[in-house]
Amino acid sequence: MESATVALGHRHEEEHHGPPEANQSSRMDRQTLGILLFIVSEVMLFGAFFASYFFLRVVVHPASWPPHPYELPVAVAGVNTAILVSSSFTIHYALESIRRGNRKGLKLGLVLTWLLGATFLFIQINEYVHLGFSARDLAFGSIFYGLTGLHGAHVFVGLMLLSFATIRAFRGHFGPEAKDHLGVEVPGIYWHFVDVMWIIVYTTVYIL
Amino acid sequence: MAPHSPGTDQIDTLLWIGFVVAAIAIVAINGALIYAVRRYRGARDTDPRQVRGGRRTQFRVGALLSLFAMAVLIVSLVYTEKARETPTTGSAGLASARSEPLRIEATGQQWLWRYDYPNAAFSYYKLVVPVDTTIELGLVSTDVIHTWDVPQLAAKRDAVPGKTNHVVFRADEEGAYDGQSATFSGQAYAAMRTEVDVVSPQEYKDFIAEQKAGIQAAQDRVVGLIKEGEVP
Amino acid sequence: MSAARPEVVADGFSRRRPRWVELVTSADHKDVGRVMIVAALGFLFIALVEFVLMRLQLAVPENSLLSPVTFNRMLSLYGATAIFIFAIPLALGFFYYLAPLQIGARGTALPRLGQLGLWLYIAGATVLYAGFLFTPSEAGVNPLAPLSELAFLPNNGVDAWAAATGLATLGFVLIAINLVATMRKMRAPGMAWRRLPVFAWSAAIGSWLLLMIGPVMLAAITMLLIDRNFDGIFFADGSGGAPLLWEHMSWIFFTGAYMLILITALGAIAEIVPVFSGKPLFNRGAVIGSLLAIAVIGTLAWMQNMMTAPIGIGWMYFAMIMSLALIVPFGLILFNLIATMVGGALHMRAPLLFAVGAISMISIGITAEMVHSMVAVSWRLHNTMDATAATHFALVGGSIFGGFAALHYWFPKMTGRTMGETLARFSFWTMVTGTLLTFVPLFFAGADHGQVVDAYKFFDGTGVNAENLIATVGAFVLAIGILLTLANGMLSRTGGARAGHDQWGGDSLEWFALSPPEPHNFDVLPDVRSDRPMRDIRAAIANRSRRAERAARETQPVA
Repeated sequence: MESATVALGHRHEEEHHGPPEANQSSRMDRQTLGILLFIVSEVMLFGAFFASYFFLRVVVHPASWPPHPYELPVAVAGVNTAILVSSSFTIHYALESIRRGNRKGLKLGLVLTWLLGATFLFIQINEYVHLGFSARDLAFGSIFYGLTGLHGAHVFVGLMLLSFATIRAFRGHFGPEAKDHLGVEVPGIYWHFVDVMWIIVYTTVYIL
Repeated sequence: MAPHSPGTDQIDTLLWIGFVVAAIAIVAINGALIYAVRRYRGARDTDPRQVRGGRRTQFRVGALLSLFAMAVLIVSLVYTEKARETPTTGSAGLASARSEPLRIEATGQQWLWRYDYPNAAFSYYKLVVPVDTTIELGLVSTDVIHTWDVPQLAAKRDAVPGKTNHVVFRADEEGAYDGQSATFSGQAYAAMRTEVDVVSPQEYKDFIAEQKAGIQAAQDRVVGLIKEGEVP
Repeated sequence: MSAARPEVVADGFSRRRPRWVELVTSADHKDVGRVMIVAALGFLFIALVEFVLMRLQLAVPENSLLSPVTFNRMLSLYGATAIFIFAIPLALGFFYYLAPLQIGARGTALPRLGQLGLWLYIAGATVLYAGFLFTPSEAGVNPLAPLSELAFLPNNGVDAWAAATGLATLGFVLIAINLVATMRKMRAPGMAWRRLPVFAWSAAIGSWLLLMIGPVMLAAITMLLIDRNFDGIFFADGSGGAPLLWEHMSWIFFTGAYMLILITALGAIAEIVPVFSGKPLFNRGAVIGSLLAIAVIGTLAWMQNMMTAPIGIGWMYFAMIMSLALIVPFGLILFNLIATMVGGALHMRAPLLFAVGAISMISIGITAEMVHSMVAVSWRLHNTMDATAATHFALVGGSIFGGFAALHYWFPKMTGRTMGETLARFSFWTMVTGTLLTFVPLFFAGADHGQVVDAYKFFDGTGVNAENLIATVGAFVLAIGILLTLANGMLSRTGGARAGHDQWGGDSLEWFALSPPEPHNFDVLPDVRSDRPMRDIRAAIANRSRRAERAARETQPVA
């Protein structure tokens, strides 16, 4: 690499073996950047499902929505919403704890979040069992199960990520430095996204 | 293909305008490209001036292109609106269709068109319409998406299951016009053709009467067979 | 700081493993990019075979060479292969190989994600052609619901199609995420966004575009699979389903993919033309802005494909306005490319030749598309051979001519050897002849006689016999031309003339690396001071050696 040594010969003066540090053109960690971009694509995925929901409801315009005789358990789902939203606060508590070096708080926060998430999923599945209609019943059934099922799958993936974080927390991983608790922060960002998405799903499907 | 309906007349004109504009644009772009290549292919060692272009050129070129786009848009809007106008039945047309267009329903099904006329007559493959009469064709489908496409008579339109689409035309000359289905619809798609027979109003009435008589005869025969006990 | 450093994948290499094992297990962006480009070109060959077979069937009226079912399977496979398995991966392969080099990065931000993306794409291609061994899809290029529903195509072909394109699309989205993250995080010192090479800009814009449209297609495919396998009612008519829902979502993706292909080609051309003219790109800023405008406005014109569907006239006008608005960015790019050549010293090597060919073909294609976007004209020309010809001019121009321009230009960087010039010229002119012979007659078959697309036969007496025969001959010529370049690539990989590290005197940083680049790309990271960093580096070297010469002359007087 003749040209390089000529053009930037001063590099040789440094007492450094191997390639020099790579330049960082952004202060954000690559993992955080990755999860944010992944969430952008997820927003488009959910967006397509929401657009389909409104297409089937507004453009196709059936006589009633939800179609007679189906009903949605708004109150139970509302309680479920409260459960999922509270898990956003517990994961935030876990992250804040490890930032301050409080390992007990980290473990408590993660376990609570996991339990709240699992409860949400359990209630959701229970709701499916008792709804009285399936994805085969009208386009309403398809899009209802499509949207809530897509979200449920995300909760499930989120729970997996949280499980890894919880196991690592109990094994003594993570520390107060920013780079030492990415394993909590990145699943946390995803979890917040899942929560926010549920609020939108709940508002659209159950309330509107 | 000569247009034979007021709507397709406008479409044809717009197509020609588009064709000429496109031809000019293609010749201009490629002419400039070929000129630049032939004129400036040169030795590597000549050191060209490092021109980077300025904002002013870009705004000028951009403004010219915008004007061009606006012109194309306006011309296209004008002709499209004209092509959408519903013509009225002329003097040579069916008398009963003077105030209201003659409504016929076209049903696309794999891989045949069925036409339902007023008065319960129907026909397959061949659509018979009176000349100089405004026809409103309601397009529906019983299975997959089809496109009703008789280019000389009307704009092509999709027949989508669950929705009704409309085609309006007024044929100005008697004769047979070929048509086809223009959306891929499965195995025998290429064979899904149709024909529009434009006839005089009297011939149209005769045709309807004949169809009705034929349908009635067939029904009578079936009823008779059932009565005789040959068909369970 | 060590955790924040990019993964230097070279650490994992063991020299004892054979090269191909290294290649398929590597997460290095150059290996991943290479596998992608080679796989895409391999599938180009397969798509070509399918295309020629279909053209053979359409050589004479009412031909019975292929049965209707076979033809429809060819058609469906050809569509999926050309778009999902050839054109998009080729674009992404070049992006993935070159964009990190061009921004002066040592690697990518999330190499494992990109590797996963590559193998999802390969898995998709495998599923598509594994389906071929059993029952491929018979639902056409875009499997419009309800034809693609279980009721009308009860075998597993459409499921294979959906799984294949779904896997590939997911892979593209992951690669796009990694590219965007890399461009944001890992630019060399001084590589501000305004100094980013145009092709790197294409990569950024194209990746964002895929990030937007990929999930929409994934949603549509998910719904199709639910419909087919779990009795869902998304697209089925009756019970409130809507066939048009599939049309909207799929056309958003296909239109976006079309724009992605053109953005990639124009980005590569905008790298090649300045280098071979010895001039900077005329109005860089406008070209980059236009690429961005094409991505946004072009994708918003998706309803251009639905001009005959039962949608309101207002939506059709919206699509037309978006399509016609594209005249401005496309026009600006073409103007600036030609203006770059004017006053330059054109070095007529294969990359420039293919670039000029690509500009010409794309100009014909997009001008024809402009005519198609006029609503009333679309009522006549929609789904005719005229539309096929327009789309193929733009996409053959973009993906094949543009792709081959990029291939000839960056081949020395990737392999350390140049592609044979004579064969390249021969292939180029064969391809030009073939493209014109194939698609110009189809313009007339569609516009004059209304011959429809996707049909397995046409009838005698419809006035399109001559056009179709010429098109079939043209398809053979085009295929030969393309095969010559593919052969050229294979032969030159080991037998081509050795290339220098800065083979063409390029402007951007990939020419600063070795040919082929080391796994870590650069020993030293250059300091970027302008949008043509390599030119600066060459000038600095020339300056230095001149100074050294002068110093030598002063200390040692000439005897």
